[in-house]
Amino acid sequence: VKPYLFKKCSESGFCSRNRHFAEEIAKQGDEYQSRYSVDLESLKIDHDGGHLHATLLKMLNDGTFVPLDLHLTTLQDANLRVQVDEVHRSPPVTHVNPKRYNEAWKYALQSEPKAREFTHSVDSEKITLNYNDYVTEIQLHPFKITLLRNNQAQLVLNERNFFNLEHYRTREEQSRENSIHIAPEESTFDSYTDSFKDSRDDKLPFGPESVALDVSFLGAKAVYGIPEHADSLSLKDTSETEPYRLYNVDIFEYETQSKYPMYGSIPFMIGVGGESSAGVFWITGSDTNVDIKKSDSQVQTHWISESGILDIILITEDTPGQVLQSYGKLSGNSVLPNLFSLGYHQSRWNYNDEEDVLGVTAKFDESLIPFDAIWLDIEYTDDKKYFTWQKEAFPDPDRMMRKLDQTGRTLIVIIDPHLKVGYEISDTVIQKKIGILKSDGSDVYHGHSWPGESVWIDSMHPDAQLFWDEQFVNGSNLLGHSTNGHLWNDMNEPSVFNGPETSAPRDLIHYGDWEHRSVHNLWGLTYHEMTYESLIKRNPNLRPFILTRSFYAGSQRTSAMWTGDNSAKWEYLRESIPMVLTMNTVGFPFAGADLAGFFGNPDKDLQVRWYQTGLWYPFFRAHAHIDSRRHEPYVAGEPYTSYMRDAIKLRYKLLPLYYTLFQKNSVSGTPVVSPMAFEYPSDSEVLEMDNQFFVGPLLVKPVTSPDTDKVSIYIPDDKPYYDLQNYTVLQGKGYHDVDAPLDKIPVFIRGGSILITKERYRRSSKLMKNDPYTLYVAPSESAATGELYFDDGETFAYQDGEFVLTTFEFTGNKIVSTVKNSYDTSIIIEKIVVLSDKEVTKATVEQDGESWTAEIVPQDHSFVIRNPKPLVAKSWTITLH
Amino acid sequence: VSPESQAVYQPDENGLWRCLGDPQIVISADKINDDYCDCPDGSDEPGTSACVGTQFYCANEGFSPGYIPWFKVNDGVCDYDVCCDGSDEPEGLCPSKCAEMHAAWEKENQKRDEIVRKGLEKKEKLAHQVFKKRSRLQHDLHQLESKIAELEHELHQLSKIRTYSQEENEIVAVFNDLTAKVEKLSEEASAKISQLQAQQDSLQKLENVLDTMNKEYNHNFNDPAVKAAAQAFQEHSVNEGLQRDKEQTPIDLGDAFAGLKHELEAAEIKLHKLVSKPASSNYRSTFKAMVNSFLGVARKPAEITSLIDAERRKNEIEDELKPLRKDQAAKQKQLDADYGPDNIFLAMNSCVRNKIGTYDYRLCFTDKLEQINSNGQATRIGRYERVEYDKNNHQIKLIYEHGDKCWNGPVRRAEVQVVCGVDDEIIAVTEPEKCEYSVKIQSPIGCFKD
Repeated sequence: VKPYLFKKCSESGFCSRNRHFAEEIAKQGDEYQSRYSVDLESLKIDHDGGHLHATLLKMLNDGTFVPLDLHLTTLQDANLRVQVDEVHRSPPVTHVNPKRYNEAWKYALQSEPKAREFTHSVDSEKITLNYNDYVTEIQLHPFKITLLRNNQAQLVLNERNFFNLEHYRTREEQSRENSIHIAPEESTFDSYTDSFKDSRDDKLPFGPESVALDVSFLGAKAVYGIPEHADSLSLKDTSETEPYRLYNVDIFEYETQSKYPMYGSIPFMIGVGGESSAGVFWITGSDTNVDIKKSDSQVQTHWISESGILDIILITEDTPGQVLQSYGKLSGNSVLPNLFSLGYHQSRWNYNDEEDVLGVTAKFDESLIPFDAIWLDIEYTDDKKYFTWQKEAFPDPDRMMRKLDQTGRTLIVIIDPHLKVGYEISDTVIQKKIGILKSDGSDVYHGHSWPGESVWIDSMHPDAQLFWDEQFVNGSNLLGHSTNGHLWNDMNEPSVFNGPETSAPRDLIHYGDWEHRSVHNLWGLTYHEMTYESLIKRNPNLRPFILTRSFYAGSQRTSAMWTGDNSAKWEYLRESIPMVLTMNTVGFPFAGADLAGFFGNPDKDLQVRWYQTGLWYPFFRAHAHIDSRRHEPYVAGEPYTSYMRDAIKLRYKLLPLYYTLFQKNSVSGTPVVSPMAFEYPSDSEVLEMDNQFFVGPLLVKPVTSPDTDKVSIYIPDDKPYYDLQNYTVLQGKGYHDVDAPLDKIPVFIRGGSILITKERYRRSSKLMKNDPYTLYVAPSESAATGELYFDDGETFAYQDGEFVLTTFEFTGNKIVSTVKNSYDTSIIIEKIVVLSDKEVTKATVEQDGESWTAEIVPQDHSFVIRNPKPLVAKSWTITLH
Repeated sequence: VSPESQAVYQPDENGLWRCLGDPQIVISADKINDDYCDCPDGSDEPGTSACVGTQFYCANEGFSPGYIPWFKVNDGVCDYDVCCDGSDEPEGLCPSKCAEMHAAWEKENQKRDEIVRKGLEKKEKLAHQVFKKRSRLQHDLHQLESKIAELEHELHQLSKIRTYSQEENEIVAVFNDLTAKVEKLSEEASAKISQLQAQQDSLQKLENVLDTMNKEYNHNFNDPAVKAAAQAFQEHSVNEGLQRDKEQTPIDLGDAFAGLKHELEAAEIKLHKLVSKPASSNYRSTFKAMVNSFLGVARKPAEITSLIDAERRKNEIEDELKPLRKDQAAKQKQLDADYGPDNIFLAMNSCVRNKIGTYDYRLCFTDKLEQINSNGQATRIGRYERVEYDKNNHQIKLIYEHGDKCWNGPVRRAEVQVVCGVDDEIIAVTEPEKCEYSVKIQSPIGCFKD
């Protein structure tokens, strides 16, 4: 990373000012007199509607007030929403929307959250709202909000009086001697100018307009979330460091264990500790910094954004899992992915031509390694003009895609938002003015990216959507009439090579006359959502797959993400796990890191270990820089190729599990890859743990160091944990050493679970469609349960009920499958492996009023029910004798 | 299962059957092809996808039978390339295409046979050229050998002439001294010239690179290193003037020749001193002849009796022998070199050039392979290194190594695969690894009789 490219807090006006403000207030301690109080006379309450409005007064130096609008909403799917906006704001600017930006929620939330009724009481000190198990207390002076659940205070807003909303004032008003606008505890650093060398041109038409607030997680021992950072899962104290910064940037050669901003941002944080858990969703589209201060009794956070209104949703629950589910109801869960996208993806910058694409495909088949999608990076285009093909290399894309389709393979092509000037696509964008505009709003902004001089389509513009739709319509140049083409949206931070911090200048103008500054962090989402919309219109019954690099809260609804340009080094392999886990804690589980490092050439041990780790990422893709050597798994040679093949085949075997977990996520927001802290939040031993995790019933501890043949795995309870490869058992809460030579993937089935797999090797997941299932019954105290979801894997027919959802229950001598939803399919179960030493001689299968016998084949530590053949789409019972 | 293998799937009289690879494992015959794998070697499931590693037999009536691996059985894909009868999938999914595929195959075969036939005709001609070329080489070599032998013989004879007198020794020493100095001087001069040339080339290249960077770098992108470099170059080009704008200065050898002249004058004085010494008339005349000979005035005497003359003649012969031997070695090398099967590449003395993608490629078979950009600038991908010939599959691969080095990458190299075609043509160029090219050409030399 080049540190000089990115603003530190001290170089960033709004961040520096708010940190200064906080420090000054902290210095004064109890002496400090807050400037913010609630005006009781202004109170307007709508019990049934769940709304409370009041004027929040900000006292100026002369004792006059700036009125702010405080709006509280009690929510059905969460707890409380708090919004604060300026009442009067009339800057004399014509080409920019004069309001504080108040539309971030339209992108962050799937719909306007539903309010619920409350009762209230008022006294001279506070207003109290009661709803269900919740109580919210609004202290009038100083302004403070406390959230209680079961009479236990969990979250406090403005406990430290760091709330700060920089109201509109002119430069003259501010600089005047004895200005009433600037409190002694405030700084005026870079209020109207930007002294950072790359952004001196920033017009800052509204001057200082930051919004900041402190939030205390009472009783919390750890906090998670606010991606994207290449840091630990459990967020660190920032008292002595930079704050965690949320600002979507194309960060070249990022470092690990760092708080630098990265490609995407989700301003959602979960606090965990003891018997409760809380979430804070800070809905702002502008540059945001979060300071964290940890103590034994609480975690205090300080949220600082450059612009926009205050819009924050607070959630309090028992467990982090419940908090996450509430978040999912607000922001939306991941759409159920197209099944192929959960298989293995093979990418490279670049596969050169049609022959190369088909040659790589053939190589995989020759090497008996399954894969589902092959990717084309920017070089497939004619001179980096998106929506064109380099004709000599790809003379007939339709033909190529048909050939891929024959074996169920998908082609994924890149389309970035920067459009090279001088061809029909960019010409239209300029002519229709549907690009991001210059700071005076006069014309489309020009900057530099891969193709050289470019313009950026403004995906916030409704007409941009229509134009985009035309580029994707069936039969158009890019994807022809294919049904196996999907999309990769890169560089949508947006990355602007010659822009400040390698991104767009903040005073550029978007549709609605909003400044880029206010929408920066959510713009990447609008871009991939635009692509999603176009693909849905292209083929309304096919689930689109889109990979995005930049993201915001809500991106999970339509896309997958990856962690950007990592390096082929062990530290990046290690870092990938907390990064992917973090995405799972903020409702965006469809995440992965490039295998086996984007920059550089991995040594073979690292490559193997990366495949053994990467197979667990929800999004499983290998990718490589143009200067690195080819390292598709078949290149390495034996024994490495076999080890990688084993890893990839394990993923395919587990596709039923992954698909079921994704379906669960899509309806209830549960993680796909779950941190230990989400499974055992009351075990303080696991709160900082980010090198092992659960995937459904599987406990996984990847090997992420060189020359290692043993790992220490933490068993979090007293259940038996069965080694997936040899069925031996680990038991006893605490750390266990397990052997992990290079060919070993340490993974254990938690006792009490039934794991559902498909075992037959096919060239792609599509070709496994009709293959039979194999079940692994891993009992704890002679009982186990499992669940399976499947459907056609690619259309929306599941929304009309065309899916199978079934549960399995083992109770010592019976296995019962109870189908909850079904459609017509003839897939059967071919094998049930029961991890038990019990003596069993035969099994009776009952289904549809008929019964038959299946043989028992004993083996080490287990026995197999041979070919019981029940239809999986109908309930059945197997009795063991 | 193929008809020949049917027999091994017969159950015994009890309806039992033994796994082929593990006869101790006995299963009931109804478990054969029941889509569940019982035998460790997979032999109980030759017709399903249940066992890993098995081969499914496709009868392919109307064409030739084939085997496809287990994982392609019942996967919803009609693998017609091996199973044209579609029997790898459930009834009705893949209607047989054996008849049309057979017809297409026949047609394709005919077409291929025709190309091979024409290619072979051309190849015959090439082979004849190879024959002629080799014969000529052998002939030339023979000529050279006799000429060399002749000269060596003369040399031998000359060496029999008696030893020098004292005076002769002195004179010879003067000349030897002189010759050595001149030679050294000339070597130094030519070394300097080529050094200078190389430096100029390299400077020219660098200036071109910097010039391109200066013109095309992203002026707005904030990279201080690039900006500083561009600025430094701008100053340089203003102050120094670019290489291409300058006249190529001829190398000044004036000093060298002045030195030589001086040496010669000194030698002359020394000679005069020697001449004025009293000596026999015989010596005088010989010396005169020698001086004349040295000055190139007189013809060399038919018969050499003087040792000085002999030495002179010896030098002449050595000078004459040098290029002859070099020529001999070159021709011998050419005769001994690996030009592929039947030395066929010996006939490929022309180059072939085709446009593939955005570049032109120029392949001079036993010389080099180049990539030429739209400005006509050539990058050497490699020099001809060797040919690899896989006799069993009749596959010829030419290896080119030591091309121009890639920026941030390795030295370029290429493998050229030759397939049968009537005309020489580069048909595909790919770069699977950075700067490692894989080229496919067609040529009659890739044609073989089956």
